Amino acid sequence: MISTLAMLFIAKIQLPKRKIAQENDSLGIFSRAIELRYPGQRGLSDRVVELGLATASELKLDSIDLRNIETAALVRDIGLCAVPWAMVNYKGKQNWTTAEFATYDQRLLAGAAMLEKIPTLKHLAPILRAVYEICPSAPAPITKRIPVSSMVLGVVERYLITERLADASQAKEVLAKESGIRYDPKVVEAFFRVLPVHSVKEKVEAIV
Amino acid sequence: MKPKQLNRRRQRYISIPLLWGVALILCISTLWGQKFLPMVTLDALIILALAIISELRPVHFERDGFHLILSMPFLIGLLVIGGPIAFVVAEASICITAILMQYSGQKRKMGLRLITLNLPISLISSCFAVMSYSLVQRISNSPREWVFATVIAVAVYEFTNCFSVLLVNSISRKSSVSGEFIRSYKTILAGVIVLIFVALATASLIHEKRVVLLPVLLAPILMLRKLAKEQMAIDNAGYETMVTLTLMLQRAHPYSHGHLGRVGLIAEEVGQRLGISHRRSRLLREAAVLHDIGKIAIDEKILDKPAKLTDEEYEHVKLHASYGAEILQGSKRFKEIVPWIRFHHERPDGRGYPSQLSDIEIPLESKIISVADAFDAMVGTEHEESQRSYRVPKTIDEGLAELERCSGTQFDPSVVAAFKEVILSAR
Repeated sequence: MISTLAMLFIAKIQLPKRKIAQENDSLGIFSRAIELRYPGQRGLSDRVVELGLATASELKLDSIDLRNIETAALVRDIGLCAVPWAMVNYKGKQNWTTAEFATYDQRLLAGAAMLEKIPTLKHLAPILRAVYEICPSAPAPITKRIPVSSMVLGVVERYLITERLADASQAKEVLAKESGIRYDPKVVEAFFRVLPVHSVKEKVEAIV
Repeated sequence: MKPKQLNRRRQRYISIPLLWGVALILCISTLWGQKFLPMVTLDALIILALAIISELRPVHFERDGFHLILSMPFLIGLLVIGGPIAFVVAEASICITAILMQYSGQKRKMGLRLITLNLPISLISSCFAVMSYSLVQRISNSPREWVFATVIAVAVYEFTNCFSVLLVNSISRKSSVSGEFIRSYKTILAGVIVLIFVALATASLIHEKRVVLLPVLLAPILMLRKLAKEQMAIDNAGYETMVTLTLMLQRAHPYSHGHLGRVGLIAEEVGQRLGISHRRSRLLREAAVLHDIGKIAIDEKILDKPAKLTDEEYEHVKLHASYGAEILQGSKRFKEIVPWIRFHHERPDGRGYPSQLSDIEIPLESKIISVADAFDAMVGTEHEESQRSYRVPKTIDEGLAELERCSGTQFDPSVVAAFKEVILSAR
């Protein structure tokens, strides 16, 4: 009886904590690797995580979806290793051609293919593939239902990339225009509700 | 524990015949003259059912090469009420049934191969358990002699089983049994302690004629199973991180295909030959697999350039050693190997990079990685993707000659000597 209770405590409380700590350790490694390859991406993953979790909480998604969004946001760029180094580091996104943007978006498929080979991360592969389906450069029109985790990540990423290329107001315009066409209106609305809070925080942190 | 297929040839021609020989001798000597009691009582059927349920979904420790088996506490009950023959026959039957249930359809052939390996181990462990149980009963005068007999029988079974599996693994991997034990001892000890407690509870309920309460004991067994799976997931996380990093590097730089794994294997062997502990040589292997991870941040066009690099390009490439350390340094799991990766291009003559360390400042592990890395870069394999664009591969003898030529300047002489021994003994 005592040994069963002890094992229950270890299985339900201690080991899951260690597992999450270990996962976060690994995710930190992947983020550092990508940020070293592409210094221009520095900070982008953290913002995707922050805004993605805020949007998901606003949509009242469950804890499993929240964890999936967090981990997918941190691993979504591992496929960037398939994007030529010079394209991102020498040229810069503002000078990319349409074909180069398409190459950049393909990183999601490359990342999904890599994740398929990792047992504890392969559940994230379909999320990344679905994010690719709603990318601007995706070839086919959207005909199937996109999982909400992927929709959240797709919306957040589109906003942040457009904001870096142009500015915040243009980024919002793009999302509003594509709402109902490429993106789920509920997700876009939830994102717009959380955005002011997280944009203010960023400005305050920058000043401080 | 049950060993999985690690090296078929070694298993087929060494381990399996040896195991079957020992198993047959033990079965004959242990069971000869024993009575076979019919096992159709309700008590026996309950115990048998519980043993089968425990064994239905074992935990696979893929990389360590064994499954954790959980039916032993209930099988001890069969030893108590049914005698030695019933116990051994039930254990053997459950072993076969569990494997066949897991490996059905297309995997049936693999299942049959596993049975030839696992069945003799089960028989050997069961016979030793029977012998120890009988011995304790004979020599003990205590009214609760069944307690000691149960504890001893379960402990003997589990440790014989573990030792046999580790022996098979060490033969397959060409490593020492102690090395194999160090890889897995935590899992083994924790499991054995819980199984002993459950076996004691089983024997106690049987002695008190309350066999119908035995199903309650499935709770700790299933909990142990869950714990083992969670622990395995945590243990695998570090390995999976390494796999992901190597996949990322291979996407950026396809020539690294195979190179990292080969350098890892050779480095571990050289480390053991130089007397590094098992634990450190396992870490050395990880460091060797990850030594070039910093190249994720290097322009692949420069790395693959067939012509001589400019000074600027060479400075860019040299950054990979520091980048590799930077990628891993925030990690608790890999913090011990960070300096080995950072300094794997340092030289005993002080002309290395990134820090121009002197000979005594360079970790031995970095020196080993340096030699293994250089050799594999020179020699590589016939695999097209792993051949460097800027150089024609050398033969093994040419590669060893080059190491010898640079011994004392670029490479540590004792490491070169150990490396040569490893390569020549593998030929």
